[in-house]
Amino acid sequence: MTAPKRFVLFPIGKKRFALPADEVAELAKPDLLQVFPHTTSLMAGVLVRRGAIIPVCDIAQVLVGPSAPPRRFYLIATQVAGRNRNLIALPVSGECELSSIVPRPQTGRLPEYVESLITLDDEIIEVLSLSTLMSQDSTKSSAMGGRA
Amino acid sequence: MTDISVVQPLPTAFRGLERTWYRGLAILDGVVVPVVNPAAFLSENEATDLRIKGVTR
Repeated sequence: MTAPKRFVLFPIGKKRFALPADEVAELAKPDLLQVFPHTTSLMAGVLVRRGAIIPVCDIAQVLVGPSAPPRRFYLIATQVAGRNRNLIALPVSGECELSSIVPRPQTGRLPEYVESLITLDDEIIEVLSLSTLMSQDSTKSSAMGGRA
Repeated sequence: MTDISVVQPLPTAFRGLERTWYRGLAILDGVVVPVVNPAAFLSENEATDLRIKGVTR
């Protein structure tokens, strides 16, 4: 039997998503989002935390579309890029939960950024691949109005 | 005039044209300031060319 893995579950709007717990550094209270001109899809700006500049990626645009409710916290996650592990802040709309669950492979026609699925009571939660998600073209996603 | 002692590289999550616009980011009194790469500005010739084409005035 497969051993359970630890996941951090987080809400965006009415839906919950998950990231592997080893990719999550902390949950931060709303901080001052600082913005400057740029052209990268999904990037909302940066936060300064303990002297470090952390980019903020608004994945809600892809996951639930432009109708996503205001985000209340930042989930600080690590994103693997080649040999580097970079911190990235993901705005989420509520408290997070840590859970040990056996994931199952994603089936059907789910987006590429859904790495696997976990079932909690009668809720099916998508486990996200952050790298794949961040490479999504937000223009395409917005045009589809998200997936809510 | 303010001295900037440390310019941090632009986070790799930013992948667009801003990678050529900015040398990096600095923090001044908790405020993030993009440090512009002078080479990203239009040269006199490029600006003239765009004016001739009617793209700018």
